[in-house]
Amino acid sequence: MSNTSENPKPSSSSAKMTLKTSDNELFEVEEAVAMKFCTVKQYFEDEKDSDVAARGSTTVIPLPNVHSAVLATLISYGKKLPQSNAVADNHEEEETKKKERKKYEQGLLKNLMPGELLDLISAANYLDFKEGLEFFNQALADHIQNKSVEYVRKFFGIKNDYEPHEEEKYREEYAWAFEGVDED
Amino acid sequence: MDQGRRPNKFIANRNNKIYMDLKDIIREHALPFLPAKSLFRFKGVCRDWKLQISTPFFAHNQSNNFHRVMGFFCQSQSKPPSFISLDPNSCGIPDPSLQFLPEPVDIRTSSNGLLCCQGRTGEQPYYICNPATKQWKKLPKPTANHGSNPALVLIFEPSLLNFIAEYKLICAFPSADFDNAYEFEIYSSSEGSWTISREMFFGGAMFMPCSGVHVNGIVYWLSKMGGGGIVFFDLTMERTQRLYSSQNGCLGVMDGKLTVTSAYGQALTVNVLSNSYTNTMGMNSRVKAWDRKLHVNLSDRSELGPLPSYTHSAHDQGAVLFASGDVIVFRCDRALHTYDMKTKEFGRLSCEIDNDVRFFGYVNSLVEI
Repeated sequence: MSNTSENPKPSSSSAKMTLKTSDNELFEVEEAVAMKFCTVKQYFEDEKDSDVAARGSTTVIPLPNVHSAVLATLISYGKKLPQSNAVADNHEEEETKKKERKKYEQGLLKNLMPGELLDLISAANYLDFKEGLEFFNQALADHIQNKSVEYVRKFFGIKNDYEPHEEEKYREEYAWAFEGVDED
Repeated sequence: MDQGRRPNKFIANRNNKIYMDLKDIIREHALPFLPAKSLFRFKGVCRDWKLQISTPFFAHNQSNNFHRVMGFFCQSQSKPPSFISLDPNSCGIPDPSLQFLPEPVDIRTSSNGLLCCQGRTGEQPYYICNPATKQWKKLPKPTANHGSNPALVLIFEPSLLNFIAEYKLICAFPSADFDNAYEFEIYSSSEGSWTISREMFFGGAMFMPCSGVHVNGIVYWLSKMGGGGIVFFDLTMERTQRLYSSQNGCLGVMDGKLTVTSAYGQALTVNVLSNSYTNTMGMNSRVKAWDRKLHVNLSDRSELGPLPSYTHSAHDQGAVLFASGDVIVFRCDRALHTYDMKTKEFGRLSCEIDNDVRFFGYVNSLVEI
């Protein structure tokens, strides 16, 4: 989604901000969603303080560490979160929204490759997007929880810095943790 | 690693510094979401991970982040306990028969990674333990006589602010001073002592052991006799009462609310207590206390095999052994089946159980006691 804005927009209840990614794509995002990215929030607030004249005009916030595909997913996830400025729903509306969000989350995770999770986590960390960081880290944990030590090392590119005898000793002492089937 | 379908892969932008940060992020933010067995295994990944996972601070984080019941303890009359895991690769414990404890025990209640067990001989002391880390603690002797089969509920709710695990153990026991009455004695870990409540339950109900659950400061038990139903003790208000409702089944907690799950006819039903204050509302209140949360037909499930018709009366050992969070465990004769409320899938546990089995949900947590 690319959108360059020539004319400054008057601020409205759904004020928008423009975010620019590492591959020079521009994303127009509602302020309420963009503010969930605390890095953006901080930048925006710094800008507001430094230049009174800039207030009301469209600010383009550069995100040199975030790729467009990744940002698109994070924005999409951010939109589905309960908005802090939303009117309080009644119980039924809340339940429906909850179910919708769960369905969206399941769909999102189904289509993600594990490698993409790493990109999303990295970006969510850079953007200081707490909910996104938690959600994608949980998804990553779910992905690795029943994997072997070798898989985990390979996946994260972690070097094994144990001596062979150290590792063998550990595996013996905690043999139960390396077993696939519980022995009763 | 997947090279992706996207032409412009973010990896191309990665320099060593960002990649290092990612590893730190994973270590700090993803690992606390893992169950204990996975974490013990992953200590073997590298030294950094071992260091991270072994700290008390990490254990505190993990007990706050990981809440899923992924395993169950079961125990039949005076046999050693055994352990069933829903995912043997990720959820497990080193010593399923709890031999690390100083004596053979009966498991009484569990809560968020902690078990409360009772010794069989002498003073029959209570032990609180974490079966994943094999840490245990013997509780001081209670003031009152709790009887031979106490109705106990362990209450442990991990909290970000409490670095040291704080828990309570409440026992409902027949009063020695009054007929047809129950008294309550509560152990508080922060105080290290037992207190007998001034509040008593009169009404000829019998609090069922192994049935109790804790929700929002209120402990509920199934009751036998005196009309059946559910009785509760409100820890905050220090008040005990019968819950006026015709519900019966396995008590549980889902989405922070009390639920009752039963297998009747050829279906599983979950009812949730949406209004816990109906007891105190006016006579003409039309507020419905219970909502139906779930109704699952079992008759068209060939994978369950031939089903007995669930027509157990309310007071018999129910077919539903566990129903909290997203998981329901129910029995068909001696076989155990599971139903996942999130994925809507049925499963079968590869073990057989006795009729008189006591069944406890377990969270694979690293919590330190």
